[in-house]
Parts: sequence; C-alpha cells; structure tokens
Amino acid sequence: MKEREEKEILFEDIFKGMELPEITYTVTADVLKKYLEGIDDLNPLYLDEEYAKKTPFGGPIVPPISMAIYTTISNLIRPLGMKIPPGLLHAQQRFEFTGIIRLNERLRIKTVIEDKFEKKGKKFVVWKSEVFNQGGDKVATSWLTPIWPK
Amino acid sequence: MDWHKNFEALSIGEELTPLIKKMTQDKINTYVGAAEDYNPIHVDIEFAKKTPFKGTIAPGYQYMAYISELMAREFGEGWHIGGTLDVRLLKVVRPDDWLITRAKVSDKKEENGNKIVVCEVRITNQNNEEVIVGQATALCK
Repeated sequence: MKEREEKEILFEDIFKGMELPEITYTVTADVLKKYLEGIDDLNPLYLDEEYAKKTPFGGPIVPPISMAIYTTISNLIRPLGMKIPPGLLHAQQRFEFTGIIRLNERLRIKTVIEDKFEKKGKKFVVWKSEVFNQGGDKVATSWLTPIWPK
Repeated sequence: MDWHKNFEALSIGEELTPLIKKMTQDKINTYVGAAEDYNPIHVDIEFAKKTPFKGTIAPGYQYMAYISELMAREFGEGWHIGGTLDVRLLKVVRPDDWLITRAKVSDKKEENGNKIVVCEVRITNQNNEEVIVGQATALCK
C-alpha cells in the first residue's frame, strides 16, 4: 500500500478563524525528564516528589511552557495530513499561564488561526492554542507567530 | 520558602541573576526526542548543511524555556500560575553557542487587585547578538 503523501500547507490554505483538529496529550514522567534534560532545568519542583510536597503546590507540577513540545506547527497540522513548507521561521511567541498542570494529566489543546497578515513583504500567521485540563479549566495559552515561506 | 516575591522589595531597574548555558547537539536531540517532532533542520546534520542555515539549529521553544526557568526561580507560584511571556526571536541558535538569559525589572503595577512585576527579558549569544528579546510578567504578593 502506498503511504499517504503529506502536502505542504501554504499561506493561501490558511484563513483567519480556521480551527485545527483538537489534540490530546499527557505529560508522563519519561517525557518530562527528557524535556527537562533538553533544556537543562533542574528545578526540583518538577521531579522531586519530597521537595515538591513541601511547596504550596503539594506535589510535583509540570512547567506550563512544556506545552510548547505539543504546539509546534508540524504537530498541529499532522492530523490534516499536511506538513510545513521548508523555511518556516518562528518569529514571535506569547504565553499565558493560568493553572497548574500535573504529571499524567490528560490535557486537550484547541487551536485556531487568530490572524494572518503581510507586513514588509513577509507573511505572518498567528496560531492560538489553548490547553485545558480534565476539569475543563484553561491552564495555558500560546500564540505562535511564524513567518510563512510561501 | 517564600513562594511569591515581595512586591515592595523589588526595585525598577533591578537585574535578576542571569542564566548561562551552552547549547549542544546532544541537548537538541534530547529535546526533540521529548517532543517526538523530528524536523531535520534540528537533528539531521547532513540535511541541515544543505539549507541556507548551513547547519543544524536549535528549536526556538527550547531556549525560550530558559526565560521560564529564570522566572520560575525568581517568582515561583507567581510565574507558574499567572505568568506571561511575550518575545520576538531575532537570531538562530546553533550547537555550541553560549547563551546568557537576563531579566530586568522594568515596571511594577497593580491591576484588578493583582500585583504584577514586569521584566524586560533577553537572551544574547557569545557574540553579544540578541537572540530573543521581549517581556515577561509574574504575580507578586
């Protein structure tokens, strides 16, 4: 059987208000360990159970910025069977952290194209991703703005 | 342990202790492995040589996390629940680059009963070039 060819998603394929398929994810101890190793962050609040118990969090938490490993454009468009065109550049980023994320919690990411525009001959797309916990509370939001190559 | 930095004790213009780190191909591979998002520009050295970057580059999100580490160290809970980050990425990061992450208190304000500290944040490389610049905020008590 022939594998499905992924098509490049172009600037013209993207429109303001476009919703992306929802993604669910769970940060396991293994993923978190690799992530923290990759950014060499040794904050004991994330992995040291005994230490974290004594903090107001009452136990280890997941650094909310780790949502970034799931909100890459390639991850967000994979369910559409599409891929990013080469040369895409991460130009701007905003995060808002609003709630605690725990290990092994099942999280949902809802993504919408908040804006697309051209400025000084460059093409920009604003990808807004909201992370919700099992209780439905919004725990983090990301606005990722890349320069689109074509 | 104090989990919210004391608002009154912070002064505008104050520099928080910087973070100094070296990026390596190993760290990039580990980070990309956590994400399971194997964009060849980050991990495939032969492929990356043939691109305009002439070599692998680190994912922006990877070193952006250094700012989060610094803010978490300084503001604890007030960063994890109530923090914001707004940045522009100006220059790519390559393996073996040294990065200095800095935050400087630029404003203190009260909004809807919240005490908010605003920091100018920046990451520069070994050539003193700006890699990331922007603003981060955290809650204080």
